[in-house]
Amino acid sequence: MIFETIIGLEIHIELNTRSKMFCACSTEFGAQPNANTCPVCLGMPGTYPVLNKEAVRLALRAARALNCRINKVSCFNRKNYFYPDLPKGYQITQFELPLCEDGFLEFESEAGNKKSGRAINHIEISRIHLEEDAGKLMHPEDQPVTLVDYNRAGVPLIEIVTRPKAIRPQAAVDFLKELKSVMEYTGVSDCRMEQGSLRCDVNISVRRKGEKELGTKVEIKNLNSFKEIHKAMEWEMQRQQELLLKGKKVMPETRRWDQIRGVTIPMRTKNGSQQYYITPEPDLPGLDLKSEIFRSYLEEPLPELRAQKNRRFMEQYNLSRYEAEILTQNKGLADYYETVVKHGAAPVDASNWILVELLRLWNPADNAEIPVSGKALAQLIKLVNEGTISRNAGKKVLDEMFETGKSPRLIIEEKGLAQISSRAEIEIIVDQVLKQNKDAVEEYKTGRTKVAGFLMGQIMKAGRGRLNPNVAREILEEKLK
Amino acid sequence: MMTILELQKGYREGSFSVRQAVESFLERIKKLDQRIGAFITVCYNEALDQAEQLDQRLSRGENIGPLGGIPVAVKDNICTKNIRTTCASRMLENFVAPCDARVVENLKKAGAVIIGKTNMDEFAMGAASGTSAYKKIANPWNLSKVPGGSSGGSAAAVAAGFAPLALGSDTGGSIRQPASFCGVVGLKPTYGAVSREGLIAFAPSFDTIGPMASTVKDCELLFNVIKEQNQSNGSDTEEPDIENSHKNNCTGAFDAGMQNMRIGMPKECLVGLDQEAAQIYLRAEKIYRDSGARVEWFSLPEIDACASAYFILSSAEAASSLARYDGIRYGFSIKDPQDLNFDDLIRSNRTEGFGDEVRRRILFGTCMRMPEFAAYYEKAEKIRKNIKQAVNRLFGRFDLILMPTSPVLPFDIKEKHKYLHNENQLDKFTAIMNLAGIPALSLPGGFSRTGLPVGLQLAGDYFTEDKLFRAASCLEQKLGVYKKLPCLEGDQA
Amino acid sequence: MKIDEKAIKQAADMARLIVPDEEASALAQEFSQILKALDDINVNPAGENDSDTASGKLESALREDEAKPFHDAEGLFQGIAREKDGHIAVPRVLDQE
Repeated sequence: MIFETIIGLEIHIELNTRSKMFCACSTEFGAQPNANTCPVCLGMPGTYPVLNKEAVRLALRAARALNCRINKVSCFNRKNYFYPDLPKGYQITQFELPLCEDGFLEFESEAGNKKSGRAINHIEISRIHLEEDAGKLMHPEDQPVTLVDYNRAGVPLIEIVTRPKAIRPQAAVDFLKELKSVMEYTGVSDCRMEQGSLRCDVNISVRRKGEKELGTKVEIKNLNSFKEIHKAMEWEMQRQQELLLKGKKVMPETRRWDQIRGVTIPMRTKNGSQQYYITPEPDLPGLDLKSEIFRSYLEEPLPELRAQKNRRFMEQYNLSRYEAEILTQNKGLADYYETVVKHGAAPVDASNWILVELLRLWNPADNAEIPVSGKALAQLIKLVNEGTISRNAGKKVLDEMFETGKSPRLIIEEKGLAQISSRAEIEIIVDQVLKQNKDAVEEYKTGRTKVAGFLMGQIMKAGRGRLNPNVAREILEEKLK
Repeated sequence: MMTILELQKGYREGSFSVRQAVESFLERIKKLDQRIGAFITVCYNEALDQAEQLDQRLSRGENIGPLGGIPVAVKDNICTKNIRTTCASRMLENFVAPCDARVVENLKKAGAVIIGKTNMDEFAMGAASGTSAYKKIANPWNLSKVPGGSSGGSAAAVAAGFAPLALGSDTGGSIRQPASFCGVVGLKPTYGAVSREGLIAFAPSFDTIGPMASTVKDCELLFNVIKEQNQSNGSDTEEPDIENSHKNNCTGAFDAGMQNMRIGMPKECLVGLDQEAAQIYLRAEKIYRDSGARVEWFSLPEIDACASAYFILSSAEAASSLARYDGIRYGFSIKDPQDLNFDDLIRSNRTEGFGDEVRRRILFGTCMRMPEFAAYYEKAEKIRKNIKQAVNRLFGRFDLILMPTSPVLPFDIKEKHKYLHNENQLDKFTAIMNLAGIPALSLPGGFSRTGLPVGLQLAGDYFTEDKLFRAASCLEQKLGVYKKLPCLEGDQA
Repeated sequence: MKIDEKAIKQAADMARLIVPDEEASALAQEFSQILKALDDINVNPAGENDSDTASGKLESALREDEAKPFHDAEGLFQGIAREKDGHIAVPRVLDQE
């Protein structure tokens, strides 16, 4: 019996704005609980929402990057229900007339069709709409309370809903990764699941292949990373298949992914299917994109997406596909690369140093800032190329730059790593080594040129690794003639 | 009590200080408000502080603004910083807003003195001001009668001479109907003409803040201060010339203004209208005709559906707008929560914090959003659309509509229950303007045989408040009603 | 169409209000009366698409994306107890996300 899995995704993405959707509170992550609040986002009496223009601009960018049909007029609604994270007793969202509909995203995935040598898959996007986020709740084990932090209440979100498609869980994750990349590249969001700026619920059903009817849909919540999303989908798919094989029915319900036990469990009560009702939002009479203010948003050029940047890197900097792919895996890294080149490093050097040395020390997946500035790395590269330090020493300097943030020159000075390049000084050492190794010199003169390697080794050792190897070699060769 | 004109003259000529004037108003309130109940909070200290500051500025020769030194009473659903805003509800008994409402900011910039927060129907739901959680309000013209609602306290304050000006809010008639019952002037501006920032919401697509005063010119003065300045309402942006307009031989000047003004009178208004009110209504017709206006009776069948549609839509909005009151972040919370979980706690807070009428409307509004009753909600929405279309057609044909404000005379406080559950009756002539969003003004039209005020209402197209003021001034001067004042026992006028 | 007690109870639940049985019964009758009045009204099919706003001229208010901390933190949590780290504690919700 062959089954196929139908997967639909409901993705919430925090827009990269400075302030909240309807008030001027900061959206910065990590503030003290309830520090970023005001009467509006706390739902105090007499307050009214005022829409953040930038939220609309970013949402429109996302809409265009995802090839959607934009509704020239869209409406706001209230989703009314009671929950401690919802200060107004309703969430402002868009229901019947969302910002845009009917888009799609192509992405690379093994499970896709081969196209120009790569497997391309394709997921349709049903709709994207604007809404405000709710606050954050914590449920401590030891007390009969729920702790509320309203910092997140009112943060601008877009909700992206995909059309259910028969795909493998891996393909869904590949889609999410591409979506994240697109959102990063367009500056819409940094999409960090660990910070909650990207959240995903999964709707999943199974059916026997060939069947026309869709199976019963189950919603899975509490998915905190791409890895967990994958695991949860695989597990749930299994669970549903087993039920069907036993002749049982799959219950339509919302289930929670338990990360620790690696299972989905039914969610106990209302929040899974919170009773709510939708009303118009009279305080926001609608979004008319035909007006002056929004026309520029619709017409502004989209920032370079990853695929474009890849191609450009290969052309402009003469990089291989492999190098370009690694450098563009993350917009921050790609920008960094270009900064290094801008500050004078040759593209191939910059690529080399980043791929070999920097990535040894810094993991793009961490999404932290690179502690060594592009300018500083360019300086370091220059110092190595000039011969001021050896490549090896350069590695050590980079490590130190990473640790301490000091400039390469300072570190070289402090640690006395400067390469000796003066012929006079090196000659002294070469002469000494030749004097101490007369046998080797004799061997060389008999034609066994390989012994020069041994002599070089001795010379470098005598110079404590600080001799410029090129100059040393030159002098040695001269002297051996 | 002194009129605005007299106050401004006195300040200008140095006959008395702002502080002295404000003190005299406060004295009057102290002496007489126990019987009326117009105020929930009287701002003794704040008002005197403001008065002193204004006196200092006067002494420096500064211009203290178009409302400089004029006491204004503010309905208690409009937020004032540092002074509690209760909406006449237990739910907000100790609520102090962190900011002034936009209109309050405007008042202060114009030099007004906020003298107190007025009593009202709880959360503005009502037409008799009988649902206040604090105290009842009596009509200054007859203490056994209601002042109308929900801005009953504001209307009573002006009628009783506690302040020459007041702010109210109008969702289904809540400025105009109490204005009518208390014999004062009240304007419901075009929806959107006055900022709602700081108005505690009841039904947001209907709610409108508006001015109340004893004369049309005073009302216009207040309107000019509170309206959003970037709009053109056709209304003067300069201060209206109060002094001269009262001096002139009015008739000639007003007639000139009324020439060829096309006024429509809906036949449906006569149905079920109190006899004496009808007489006053018909008298106004004659006055306008004599002034040279073109008055015409016509049919407006849409009137009949208004009150029901309004009640359904406003209740549905109210259910949503009042969902934020759960006692968690602010507001009323029960004293002993014991082991209640979240839902049960907010249930208790809301049930005890809200009065009967508020709970009733929330429940009705919630029912209207349930799928089984969707047809009714949709029908009410369609009625609203119909009304907007009808109104558009109407103002192609007329400049103004003349209507009664209330189908009934001010009724007994003891009988308010009879009307409470029959609100459709009371909102009959006022809800239509809230449904459409057009401006409407009520001014005193006369008195019943027993001395109860009867108001008349003028409605106009969007942003035509200037026409309303003009036509209302004409009627006001010719009727001369505003010259009469209620006689409050022990009162020395 | 009538509104019955069951509907009132359901509305009460959704609106987080406690409504005792006698009150529910009275309200059911009252509300049904109000709806009956609407039954008798005829509606013209609505004309072209109107916006939902009162005068049809209104647009959503917009603001620039500037972060400005609220000036009066004290006034925000009037007498509401906060945990040391700033959280607000409320009684436990029954279900969890």
